[in-house]
Amino acid sequence: MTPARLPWIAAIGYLAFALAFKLNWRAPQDWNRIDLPALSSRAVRLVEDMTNFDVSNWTRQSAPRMDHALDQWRRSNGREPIDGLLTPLYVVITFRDPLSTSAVEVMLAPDGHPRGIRFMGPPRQHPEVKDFDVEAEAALTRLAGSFATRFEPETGRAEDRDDRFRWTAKTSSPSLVWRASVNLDRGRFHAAHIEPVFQGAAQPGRFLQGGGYDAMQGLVMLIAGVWCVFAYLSGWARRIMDHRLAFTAGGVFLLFDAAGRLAAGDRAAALSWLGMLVAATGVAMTTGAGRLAASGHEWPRWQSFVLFLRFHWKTNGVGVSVLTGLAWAGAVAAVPFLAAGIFPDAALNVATYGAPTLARWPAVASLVPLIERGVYSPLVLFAPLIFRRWLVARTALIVLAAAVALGLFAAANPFSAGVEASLVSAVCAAALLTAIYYLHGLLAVLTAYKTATVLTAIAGLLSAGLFLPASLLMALLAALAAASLWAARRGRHLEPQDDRNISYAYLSPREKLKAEFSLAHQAQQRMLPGAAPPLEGFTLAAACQPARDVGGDLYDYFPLPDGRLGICVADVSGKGMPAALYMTLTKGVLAAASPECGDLAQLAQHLNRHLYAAGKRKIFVTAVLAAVDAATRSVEFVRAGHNPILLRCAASGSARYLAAKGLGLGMTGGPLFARATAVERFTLDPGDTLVLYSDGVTEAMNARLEQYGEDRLKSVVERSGSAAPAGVLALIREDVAAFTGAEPVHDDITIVVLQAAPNGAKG
Amino acid sequence: MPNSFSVSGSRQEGISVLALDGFLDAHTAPAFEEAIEKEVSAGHNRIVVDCARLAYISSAGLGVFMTFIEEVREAGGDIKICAVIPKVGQVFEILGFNSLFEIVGDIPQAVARFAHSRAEGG
Repeated sequence: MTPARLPWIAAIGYLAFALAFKLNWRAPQDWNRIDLPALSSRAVRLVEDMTNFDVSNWTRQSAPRMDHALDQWRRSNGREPIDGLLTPLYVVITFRDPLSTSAVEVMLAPDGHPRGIRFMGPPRQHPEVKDFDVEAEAALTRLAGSFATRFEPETGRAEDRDDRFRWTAKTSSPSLVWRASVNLDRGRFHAAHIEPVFQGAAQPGRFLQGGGYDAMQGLVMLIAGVWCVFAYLSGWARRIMDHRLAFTAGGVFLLFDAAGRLAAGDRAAALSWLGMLVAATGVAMTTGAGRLAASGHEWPRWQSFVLFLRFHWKTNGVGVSVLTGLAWAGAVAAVPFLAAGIFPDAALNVATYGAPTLARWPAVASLVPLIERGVYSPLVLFAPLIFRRWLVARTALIVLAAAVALGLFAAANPFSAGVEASLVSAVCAAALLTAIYYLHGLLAVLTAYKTATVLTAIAGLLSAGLFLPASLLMALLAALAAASLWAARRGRHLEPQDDRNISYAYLSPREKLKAEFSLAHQAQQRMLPGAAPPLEGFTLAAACQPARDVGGDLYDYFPLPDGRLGICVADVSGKGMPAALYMTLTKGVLAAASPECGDLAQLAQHLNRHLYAAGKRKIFVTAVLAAVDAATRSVEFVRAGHNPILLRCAASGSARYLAAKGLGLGMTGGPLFARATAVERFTLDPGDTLVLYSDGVTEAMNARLEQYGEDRLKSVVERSGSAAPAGVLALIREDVAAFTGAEPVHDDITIVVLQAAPNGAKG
Repeated sequence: MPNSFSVSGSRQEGISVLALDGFLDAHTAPAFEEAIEKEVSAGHNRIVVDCARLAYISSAGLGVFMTFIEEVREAGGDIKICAVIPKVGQVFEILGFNSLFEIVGDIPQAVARFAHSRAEGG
């Protein structure tokens, strides 16, 4: 996906959201009639009237609620006045005594009609009641008003106590009755309310009604919390967790969270230590999950998120990810509204998505669910990553994790009521976000998910006519977009070195070792000559491909004091790290000795002496050393136990191996080596090609354990025709690869090709 | 591709014969090294390595020969190599083993070479 497509994604997504919202935003009836200050004074009066209790100095907090079951019933029933005794939409006003643990909850319809009252906290602080029957009748009259006479005492109660009262009243339909109940708990006023009771088949599914959502969210958080605590206590998560980073990030989230709740008037929740603890653990665990995910092939998708958590906000990667997320947000926000179009029963989730429009600072209150879920959603979505290794073996846990994730999406839906709508929208949102994750990475997902919530809030505020708070949120998004655009264009580009430094901290010991090997691989590749030195009348090409991260093969060019160019191909016995260390030693000795050794025999003996002293005979090096005189095209070479060199004659097109007698370096002391190793000479004609290689070429094996062998090498070189050295090199590598097929490479492959200019030009 | 390799030891006329079978490379070299080590630490310094069933040798395998050769020679013994198949022989030749080791046709010849050198020495 190229950045050029982002404006299109943004345009289509935002347009889809605007249309779907316009068509399907369903604020409940009477929503605009809610006058919170008026309802609040009404509630104070109601408490005083019913219980002689004064709550006017208590703190208060209000939240709208929607009785979806009653809403559904009212749409298909309701013909008589008593059917309208209770409205589906109501407001819960909670008074809290700042000095004690007491609280009073009052439920009122938008027009101020009471629905119920309930005392919470220690019963001894509740108002005293003298005459039970009189008080109960008075309470019923206050709640039911002119319909009080329609209520008849309920018969056949399960518990027959003189402090509990129940009445029922019939409506126009047999599927619904109103029930009024008063609880004067042993002489203390506890509760009085009216509620709808659905009969028989009319009973709607309870789970998704109002409190069902809270229960669902609570369950999600509980599972996630238990999950986290278990992972932490098992020691495993503790080990992978970056505590400092986790708690810094957790602290920042918490400050925002507390500020948002205070703005929404929920002072008690803002100070809830338990919530803070869960939230901090959540962020810490998210980081822990990131650390684990980052150690594997998921790292590119996690990189921007980790950079973001580490406050590297001015990097290009973070900017691009956030911009991408902002572009996709429209599409993500459109999903629940499109789903609501399919399911006409879906109604607005007033507690979360409607409430901000009633708050004192609607813009800030709109951000509360955003911040709340800012902590939990990545936790729930990516907690499975923490347990990736277990999950592979335990399908049941995968299913659980998926169910929890879907539950979260369902709970985060602007609509409630109707399990189908919630599920469809949750599944679509999950699929869309998963696609964004694979295309753009984690930070883009989180940005898209969070921004979608803000977009919904903006649209909701606009539809309620609250233009100022809506424009504040829009300004916030615009600032975010501008900042990320700046970061994307002008921000620091992450160098591979920086990336390693950041990702290194997230690696397991095993991964660290792998990273070190990869560094060693790069260091070793850098030791090889970058480009062939210019040699008048000749062309050179070379390649060295280690079988593992590091290898024992080496090629090098070195100028000799007499002006000739030295070429060396060497192979250390064994493989891996020990071989690599000796390869480095060989290169060092070669570099140190070559400027002083006039002839190849002397140089070879020098190398032998050093390697014999260092290797204790157990490790030896085979090498071909060649010295090319550009002027005369004569070549001298020493074959120190290495594979013969291959000479292709341009005139005849045939090739032959040249094998001077020789002994591996570091196998034996000086005199024997000197006796056993000879220098040979030959002259290249124009167009002649010389191939120096390591045994990784000839001993490359196919699935049938056959070796590539010298004959095949000879034949491919003969077939190379007038190819330049780079072409010859490519031909050999292709031929070897075709021969070995899918078999893994077992040995380092090194090839150097030297060719005299075909036209014979010597300059 | 785990290559199979095994070493079996026997004694013939006071000489240790180690028969190699299979692929001798970096993975299997330790087994060979251990086998020679056992002989040398038991004081058996005259060793014949029978390569009749050795299908492949890598540089790490060659390194095992180099590790012990001076030690056994200083102790008055030797390592002789026999019955090498052409492919392995070529590797020995490339590396220059011919100038370091005595490579003969079969076990009796190798054993005879020990007897010969002892007669010469005695």
